[in-house]
Amino acid sequence: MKSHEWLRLDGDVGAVGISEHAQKEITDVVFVEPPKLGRKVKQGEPCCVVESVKAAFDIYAPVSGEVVAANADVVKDPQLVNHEPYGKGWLFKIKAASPAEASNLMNNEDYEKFLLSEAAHGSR
Amino acid sequence: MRRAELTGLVLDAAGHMALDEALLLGSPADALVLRFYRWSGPACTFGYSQPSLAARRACDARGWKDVSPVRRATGGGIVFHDGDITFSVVLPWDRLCAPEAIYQKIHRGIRAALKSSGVMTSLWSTQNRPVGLSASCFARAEPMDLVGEDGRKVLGGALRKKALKGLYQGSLRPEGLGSSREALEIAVSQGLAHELGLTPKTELRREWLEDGRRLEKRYRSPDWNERR
Repeated sequence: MKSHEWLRLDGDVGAVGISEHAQKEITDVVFVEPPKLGRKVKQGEPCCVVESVKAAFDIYAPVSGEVVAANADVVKDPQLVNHEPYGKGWLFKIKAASPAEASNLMNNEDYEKFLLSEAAHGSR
Repeated sequence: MRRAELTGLVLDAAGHMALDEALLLGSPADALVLRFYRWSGPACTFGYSQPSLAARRACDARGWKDVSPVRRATGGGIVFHDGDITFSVVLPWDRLCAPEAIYQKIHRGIRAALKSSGVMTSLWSTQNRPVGLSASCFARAEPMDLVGEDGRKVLGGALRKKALKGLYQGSLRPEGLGSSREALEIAVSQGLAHELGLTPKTELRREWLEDGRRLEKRYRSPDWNERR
């Protein structure tokens, strides 16, 4: 399933957040529930919840591994996800079991095409 | 496969929340599943991110000392289920979009069907949406809620998006609408079918019921309900 998380790897540890497009669609984020530290996750597994206007959204692990950090700042100030989705609005970090798994993910160009295809498909 | 109507199942709050999650997880991705709750007694549910203490205090303030509030998988505020028409919809939600767009679609359909049966409501909108959410669902209208002719909120909902599907849980207050519960439920069903272009499934698969029973344990647990 294609989704709207980003992964920024530094060695085998990757920060995870949601895209600029996603934060705009979700609108005002009022709550973030990151995964517990030490949790083992599989690629594509829902492991975090973001809530906006009376709507809760599952956030998926982009790669398999262990959760090694949760962003306490977004828990205190969820709107960081809206204001700085690629910066201070990151959600959690995963120590990737196999960093090569990231090759399954979309790159920027693929993601832009994905957004265009979603726009063409229309909302449902 | 044995089939039974989804509507008509008498459950408490944990039972209904668990069954909704089972439907969200187990129903086909392209299906529209609609059911109306039947309550075993007064109940209270609260939004995924709300503190349990706020719901406990709200129940106590109503004299509902024996009612245990249950946390929903959906967002939103505290809802007292004491005569409301409560229903849930599992719907395809395959493209990320603003929650308000989903509320608009569902509530627009219901509004049109209510209008056809002589019940006048309108979609509430404002250019200055208050920041944050009200603790209690019916304390104030949010954009795309349905309000009656007197401006009173009559329909509110809450959402959960999971993979390519969404769960909508709605609460319709029938007081003052001048229509029977049965007629209002029919209007909800017709409105959804028309607006979403799908015929709602209302039959229960046995495995959904079994999954719901399995999930009930979590919705009764302090670990779930008192997480915040």
